[in-house]
Amino acid sequence: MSWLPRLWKVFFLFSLVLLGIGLWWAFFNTPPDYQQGYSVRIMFMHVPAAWMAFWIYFLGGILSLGFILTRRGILSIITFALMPIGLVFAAICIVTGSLWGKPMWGTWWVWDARLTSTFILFLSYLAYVILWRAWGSNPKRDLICASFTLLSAINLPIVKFSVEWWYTLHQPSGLFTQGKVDDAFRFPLAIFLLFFASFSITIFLMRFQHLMEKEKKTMRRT
Amino acid sequence: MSYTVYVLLSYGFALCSLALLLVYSWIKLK
Repeated sequence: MSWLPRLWKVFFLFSLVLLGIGLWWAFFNTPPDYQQGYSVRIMFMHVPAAWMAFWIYFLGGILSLGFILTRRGILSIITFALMPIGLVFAAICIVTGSLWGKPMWGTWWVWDARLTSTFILFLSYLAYVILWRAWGSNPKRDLICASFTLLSAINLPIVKFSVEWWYTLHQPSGLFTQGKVDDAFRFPLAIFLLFFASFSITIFLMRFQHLMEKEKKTMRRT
Repeated sequence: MSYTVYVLLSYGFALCSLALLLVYSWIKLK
């Protein structure tokens, strides 16, 4: 595991470069949208954060299923290393969405299907972290957390398809569908998505290193 | 409020949250 610190440092430096390019592009090279003006810049934070929150939980669901089937402790550790990262992205998604909603929709929040299911996703992340901490080193902890993640992952298709299944204030997806979003906005969006992904890998590797060291110490004691 | 305020608040919240996550993970590692 001696390669771990070197690897997360590389990802961290890569993240800093991407953040620099993204911020420069968003603030100095992005034209105002014909309807939204410069508030369109919020999209570069909101949309990648929403994607990260969604896909991290999806990955957590797959890892939890893997744990339930194989009972390999490493899968549980990987899930716990990931989940707090998703929690932060879910919070960023909700807060930036609210800050975008106020000038565009005239309201900070509505209980429509997309916003409510995203809020439930945030609560699921929070519940997972609380569950993990509450059960401490109890041997049942991993199975309980994995079962909870798998069950609450039912919310993911609702988050994804809520804008198609119900009438919502939130616009339908399709950012990368040709003609829906201008290329002037797609490039910074892709840069911030890469930044969030690279930053997530950095934090994941840091947390994984910490959790593995902790696990080794516990093994030595017992 | 002008759009700039909403934009700055969004970027400020997002980047501060990520910075806190980084610091928290760093402290745990030390």
